[in-house]
Amino acid sequence: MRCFSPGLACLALLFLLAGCVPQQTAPGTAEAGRLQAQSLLAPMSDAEFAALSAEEQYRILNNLLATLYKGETVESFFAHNADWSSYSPRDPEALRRLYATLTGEAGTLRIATLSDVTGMTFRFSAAENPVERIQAELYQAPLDRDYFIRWMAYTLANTRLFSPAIALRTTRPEDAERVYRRLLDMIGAGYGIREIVYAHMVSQENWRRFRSPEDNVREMMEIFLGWYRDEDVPVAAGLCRNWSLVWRRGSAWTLVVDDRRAPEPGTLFGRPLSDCYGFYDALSRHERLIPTIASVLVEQFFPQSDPAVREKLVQELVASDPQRFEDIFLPLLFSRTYLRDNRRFYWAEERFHNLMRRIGWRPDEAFFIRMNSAHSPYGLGQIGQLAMSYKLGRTRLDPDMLEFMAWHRMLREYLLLDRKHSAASNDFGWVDDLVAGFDDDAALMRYLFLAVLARRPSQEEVDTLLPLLEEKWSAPAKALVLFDYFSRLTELYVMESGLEDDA
Amino acid sequence: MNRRTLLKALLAAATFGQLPLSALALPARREELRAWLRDRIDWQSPARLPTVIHLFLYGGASELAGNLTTLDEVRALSERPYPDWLSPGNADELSPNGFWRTAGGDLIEDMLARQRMSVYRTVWREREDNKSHPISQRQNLVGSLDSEAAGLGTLFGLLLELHGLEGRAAEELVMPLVSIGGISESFQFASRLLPEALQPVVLNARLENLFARRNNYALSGVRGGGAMPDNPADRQLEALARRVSPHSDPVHARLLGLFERRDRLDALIRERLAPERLAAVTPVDPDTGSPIAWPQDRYGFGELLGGAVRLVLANPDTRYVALRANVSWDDHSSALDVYRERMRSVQQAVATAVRHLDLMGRDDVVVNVFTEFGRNLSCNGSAGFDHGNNQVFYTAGGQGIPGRRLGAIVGRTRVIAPQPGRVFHRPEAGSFHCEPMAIASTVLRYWGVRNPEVITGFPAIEEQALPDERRVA
Repeated sequence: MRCFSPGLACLALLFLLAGCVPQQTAPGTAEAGRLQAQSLLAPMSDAEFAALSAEEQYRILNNLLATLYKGETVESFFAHNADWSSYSPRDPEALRRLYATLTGEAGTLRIATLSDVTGMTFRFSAAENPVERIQAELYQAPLDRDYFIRWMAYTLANTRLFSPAIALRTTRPEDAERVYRRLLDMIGAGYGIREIVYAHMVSQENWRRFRSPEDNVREMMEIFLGWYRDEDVPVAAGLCRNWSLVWRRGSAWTLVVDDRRAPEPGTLFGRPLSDCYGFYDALSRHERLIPTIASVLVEQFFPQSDPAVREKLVQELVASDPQRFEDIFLPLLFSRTYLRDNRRFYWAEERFHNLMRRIGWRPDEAFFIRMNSAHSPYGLGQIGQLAMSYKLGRTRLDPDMLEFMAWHRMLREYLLLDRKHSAASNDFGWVDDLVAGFDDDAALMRYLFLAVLARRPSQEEVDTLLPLLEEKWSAPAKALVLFDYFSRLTELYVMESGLEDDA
Repeated sequence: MNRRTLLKALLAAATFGQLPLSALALPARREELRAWLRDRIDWQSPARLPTVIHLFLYGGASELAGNLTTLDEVRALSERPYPDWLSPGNADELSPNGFWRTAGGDLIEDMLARQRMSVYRTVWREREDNKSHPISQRQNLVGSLDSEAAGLGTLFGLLLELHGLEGRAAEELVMPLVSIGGISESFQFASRLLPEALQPVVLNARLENLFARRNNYALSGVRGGGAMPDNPADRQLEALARRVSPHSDPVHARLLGLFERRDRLDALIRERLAPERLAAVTPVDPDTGSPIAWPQDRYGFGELLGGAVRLVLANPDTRYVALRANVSWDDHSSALDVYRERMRSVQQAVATAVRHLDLMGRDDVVVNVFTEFGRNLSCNGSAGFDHGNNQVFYTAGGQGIPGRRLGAIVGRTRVIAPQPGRVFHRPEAGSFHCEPMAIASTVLRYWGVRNPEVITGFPAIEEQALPDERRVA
């Protein structure tokens, strides 16, 4: 009888896939231009990006940065005059530059201590939720190739494909760490999709999520192949009948392979199989694996799109023969379809991290405890979007009334209406420096509208809001009025380019 | 048409995808569906319209608590042995009618004896036994094999829109449709198919007002951290935001609807669910001399069902409540003890609901408890139970509703073992059995639909015509 130990040591890699890594088509190139006429995955060209208005460029770039849990301030993006009546993007090739940053040379994936990068110290919960530390690493890491690998690992660990489901009775918080680290290490080392899927399926963490032979094989077929044939479940379960999840004092739920009990060979996917390793191997090599994974990731980023669009995106991704996860992520994120034509709700975590950077909102040391709380009024739990917690990942991006109220409260009360007592105080919030030096209300409006909404105020907004601002006693008080208004706009919650139809 | 326009056309389609036509030809678009219901449904105003509360057990709840009549055979066939204490000879665990006592079976026996519950032991999928969580959940909550059809709660909303409620128009009703603990799939496509006034309200189990905005001193000029006081500046911001936010796009329109609903709900809950109003519908239990106490435990079924009962008592317009508990019944490993505890919690909550309603003199509130599928009766290698088919349906209360029948145990089961390690119940030859969608048909009939099979594909349960099939006297 064997017990599985965590980490890469438990892997039983049976194969290395050889094969061409498809060329990525960088935005701005002639190749991108040719593809543009044909493909939903065609990237937005430099020329097209540069032809956009200043506000449109800022919005599109920040939508992409929000997807990556980052954000760029207006001061960084624009060259501007003092009252923000005139501004222009500093870098017309911002999109291409971001692409190059994410695909450049990798450094070291390990951050020795969290305070190394920014000097900020965070406190973590006594319950030792490693998700808090993982998020803190992401928050502090600069945007580069290493960060992109971390982001891919984190994103995958929040999908139904790899969720460690730490809310379940049979899982442990450290499963989140192991699943994330395995993804991080394997993606960073250049392993392909199929190998990573195989390594996950044979892991104890996977069995702690799907806990018996029937449960595990059924879910693996459903999740990774979209295969819902109940009649195949007993055959596959027979192959894995000597695998089980057992409670062991000191090591909690442990995956045990009982060598004394023979598996039941059977035929599945049109081929004879002899044991559970064979089942997982056959599944990870199955032709439906890539299309199913592509569907999950397309759903993640285009949840409100028409099914026909999603289907076409999946078809194009599959046709490109992706070998690694970035062969799916990069084309999706830099596609014209995503940047220009997509319209969806933000994930709460995306929106919060993006806006907090744009207005200089500073977290306190308990930020990540609060973020991962199921009960805090300002945490992701109330919104139904806790990280790495749910059995099938963060799947639903259409909030119900309660969840939306929680999200609205998070953005309004926690982010926008919360000022720090002072720049040096330990509490969270934005600092008054954000609006220092604005003596003119119209200038303040232009600045904050651009910073938060990436647009100019309409005449109606100017006519309604300016009189309200005139009554207020300070720039921060005026900012609180404007922020309260922003919190009530649907655009604050929706990721879109704002571009109109072509004539 | 250029590519941009083509994409826009595709994206401009209904936000949540064009619905395929139901296998039962239930139209997908609002006006078509309304017309279809008007033309195809044989509707008659019911003599008494019940209030219906649905407690759905997500994950697939085992039948064990509700049916140990074949325990000897199940024990013999199980891959992993059952504990000795769960055996037919142990009267501490097995009730006279084959319920699992410590899993709530004693409470079930009591409710049966007092004619406050019926138990259906043979809710069994003959068509499409998929044993898949997402598909079966949706099918059972929507009430159709077409899991992409409008949900049962949504259909009720459409019926209210068409026929009103007891002489009142739908727009006069306050919170007729509610989902507690999160939005239930039984309200599938409500956002698209129902008018704003009939959109399901989502509350938490404590019926708290989570819709009020916190005060912003800079805006209101009023100090203090409570709810935003009514002030002109707040109203100006709200009105401006409504005008500015896009209305035509479905994604924005959905959020606009939620914001508008927020306003309405803030006011409604302050009025209809004020603490004094909820206290007024909490009777004193004569057995204890204290206000009736709802069970509190880590599973939260008492809190959930207690919230639903107080809601329907405090707000007479609420007629359909769907409950979502944050508890999974997908017991693939180490299941017995935790299942027993959990099912006891459910039955304690149902028994308290029955008691509370009896004390308030209400005989028109139906509480249904069901799940997506039952489970394998063989205990697997991880000491759990894998997916099955046959499930037990518990229905309580509503004894004053015409056609209702309580106090019966319906359905006899036999054991099949198609493969090693797979042991299931299926209905005995000649025994009553029905598909899970028959529950939806039965509820539709309570709501006045005389041909519910046209909607769900399955007939309603003819409660009063069925034999009581107890095996043990």
